[in-house]
Amino acid sequence: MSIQARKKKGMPVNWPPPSGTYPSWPPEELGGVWASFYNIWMLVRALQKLGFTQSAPTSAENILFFSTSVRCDENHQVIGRILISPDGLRRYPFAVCVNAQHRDGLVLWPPYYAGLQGGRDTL
Amino acid sequence: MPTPTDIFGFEYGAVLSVQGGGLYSAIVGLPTVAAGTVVSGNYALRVPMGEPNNITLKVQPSTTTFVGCVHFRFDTMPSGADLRFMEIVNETVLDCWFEVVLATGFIRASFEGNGAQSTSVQLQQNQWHTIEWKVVLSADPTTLDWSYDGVQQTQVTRTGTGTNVGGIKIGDMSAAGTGNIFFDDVIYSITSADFMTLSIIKVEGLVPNADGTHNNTTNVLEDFSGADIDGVTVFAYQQLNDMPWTTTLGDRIQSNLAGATRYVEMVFPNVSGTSIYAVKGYLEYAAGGTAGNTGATIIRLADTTEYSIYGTAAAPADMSESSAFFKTNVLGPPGGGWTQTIVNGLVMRVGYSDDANPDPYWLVAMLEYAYASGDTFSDTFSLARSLGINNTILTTHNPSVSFAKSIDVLVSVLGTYGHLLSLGRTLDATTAPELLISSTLSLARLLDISSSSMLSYEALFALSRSLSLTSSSQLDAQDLVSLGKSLEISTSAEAIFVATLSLTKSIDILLSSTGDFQLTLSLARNLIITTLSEVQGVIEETLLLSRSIAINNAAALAAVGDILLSKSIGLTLDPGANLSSNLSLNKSIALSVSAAFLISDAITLNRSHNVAISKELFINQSIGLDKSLGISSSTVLELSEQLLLGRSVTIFDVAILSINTDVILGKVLSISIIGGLDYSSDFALNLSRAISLASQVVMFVGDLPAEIIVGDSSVWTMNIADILVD
Repeated sequence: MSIQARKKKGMPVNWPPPSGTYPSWPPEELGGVWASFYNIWMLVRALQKLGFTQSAPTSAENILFFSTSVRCDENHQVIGRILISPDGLRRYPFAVCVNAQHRDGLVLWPPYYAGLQGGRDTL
Repeated sequence: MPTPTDIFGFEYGAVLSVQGGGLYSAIVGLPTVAAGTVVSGNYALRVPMGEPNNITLKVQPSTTTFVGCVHFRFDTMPSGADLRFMEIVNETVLDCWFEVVLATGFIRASFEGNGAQSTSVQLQQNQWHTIEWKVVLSADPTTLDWSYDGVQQTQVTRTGTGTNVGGIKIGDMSAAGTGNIFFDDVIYSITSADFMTLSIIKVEGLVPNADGTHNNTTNVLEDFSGADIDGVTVFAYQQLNDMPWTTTLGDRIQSNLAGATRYVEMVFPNVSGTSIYAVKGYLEYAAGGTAGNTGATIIRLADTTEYSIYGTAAAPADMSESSAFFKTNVLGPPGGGWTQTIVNGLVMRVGYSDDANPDPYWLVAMLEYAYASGDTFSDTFSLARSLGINNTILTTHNPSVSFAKSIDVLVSVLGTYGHLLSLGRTLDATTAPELLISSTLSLARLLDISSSSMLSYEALFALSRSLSLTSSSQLDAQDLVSLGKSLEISTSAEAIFVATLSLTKSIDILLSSTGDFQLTLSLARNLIITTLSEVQGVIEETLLLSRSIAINNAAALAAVGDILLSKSIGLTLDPGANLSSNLSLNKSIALSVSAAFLISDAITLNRSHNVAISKELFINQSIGLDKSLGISSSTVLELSEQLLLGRSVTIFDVAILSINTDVILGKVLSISIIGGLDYSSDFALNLSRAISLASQVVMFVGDLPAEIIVGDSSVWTMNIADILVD
């Protein structure tokens, strides 16, 4: 599973969250199939077909994953979203930078960001 | 004229990467691109079935009216489960699904299974099929119009509206079956009127094949070894013409030093199509490092208009990627649209780097262009092989067309050839409502036309082999038709030949309402007309056959001109037959159950003349037979002039036999009145003039023969009227 790596103007700041604070990625529902997506929207659409849902983070998740110190690779602030497994037991954090021109997506696998328009559209 | 928004021909030859977003927005599993099995160009997407293998093609944002076309082909029929092979990925409303239904083999469209509608024809293995669609998300309910192989299907609807189409996903989304699915020439448009017009469009690739005029200097634009590109010893096009594409960073053009005005220029091969609907640029690039840099890849027209594939001369784009990235852009179109001249004048320029640290790399670049296979060809063209035209709305060839092999026209609404059409082999026209050939058509082999509503030849039509027409509502041949072999017309409403029809073999006409031959019909073999309501007016001039003519179940047969046959003529179940002129046969003429058979002029047969159960037989002039004349159960037989027989004449159950002039027999005259003792005075033999017999006259009345024997060849005169001879 990957989202395309983008030009390295820098690295995300305070991202990803500390290991152990979120379920391991990739989720078992993907069945080991190799896949790549140009942006988070395409990833979420694919996971929704497998029964995943998404929602706004809880207050505790905002504190845990999406503090104001989290920045994308171009140092923009982010907003968080939670991807929920079909059984409802696993909640995966993702983030999209607030800059409308950049709209980077922060993900849970190296290099942990999707680059320009990688967070296209609202999750 | 269709207005494609984007085209996907897979002419770069490989499934590469989502990086840069130029090629796909998602890849799942391991689809490939393969050569050989294509609709057009050199490559098509090949997706192994049995695993979730698919790609998602990117669609421009904010699309709510989404029209498109995809060609697909299964090399193995789906098995195991219904197989979903295409999705239109919608935002807000459910995705559109296209599936092969396992139980029926039909194609089913739905909104993720809701409101499904199916075709009523089965998917065919190893055949290209076409789905065209129109999705309108902006009105409630959302609608999906679709067609399968050019036939519009029942609309699918879904409550609600959508905001955007997110992509076209093609491949195996069901992880069922074995074998492969091929996809080629995916085209979409955001113009509603383009629905069911895009399938005529094909996509071909254009790879740089020579250098143009460079504006380069030392240590700026180099090949991967650091040699300056000069177009003399080091060529730009050789660095960018890899096929198929790969993601390796091998040979390339690199900008070693910055040069904001420096570029190298490449040209493309000429295209053959004259109706060009879109041109798309493809670029694969990377850099020597990940720090920011710049470069541009542009396409330039002869009139100096420039289109960007990535970056522009004035505003070059960042190329600082450590691995291969991909950019594409649909170019223009120019103000007056694309033309062959404009496309043939395109050049590509790369360079324009105002920041070459690290070096930007141009790895591969090419164009795809979309053209219509069913175009108007306004100039003479020649092909060494076949021209295949499938699912074409309009095929018009105005000047000469010459092919060494076959031309296939399938499911064409209109095929018009305004000038000479010359083919070395077959012309197949299937399910074409109209096929018009207004000038000479010359074929070395077969012309096959099936299910055509109209076929019109207004000028010379020459085939060295057969012409076969099936289920055509009208065949209209206005000028000379010359065939080397047979002409077959089946289930045609009308067959009209205004001018000479010349065949070296047979003509077969089956279930045609009218056959009208207004000039000479010349056949080397049979003329067979079966279940024809009229053969009328019809042979107005000479009919020349070296073999037989057989007419079965025809309502009427009228031949005004001469009929010359070297073998037999047979008329069966014909209520009337009227031959107004000379009938000359080398063999027999046979009539069965004919209401009336009139021959107004001389009849000459080398063999027998048999007329059975005919109400009337009138021969108003001389009849000459080398062998026997047999007439059975005819109400009236009248021979108005001389009857010359080489052998016998036999007449059974004729009410009246009148011979008004000389009868000359080489052998026997035999007359039998069946019914034994029921002799009736209504029967009479009137010989008003001389009978000349070589041997004898035999009359049978009742069970016992009554004989008149003339033992010599003398000429004598007699009257027999209502006399019983014992």
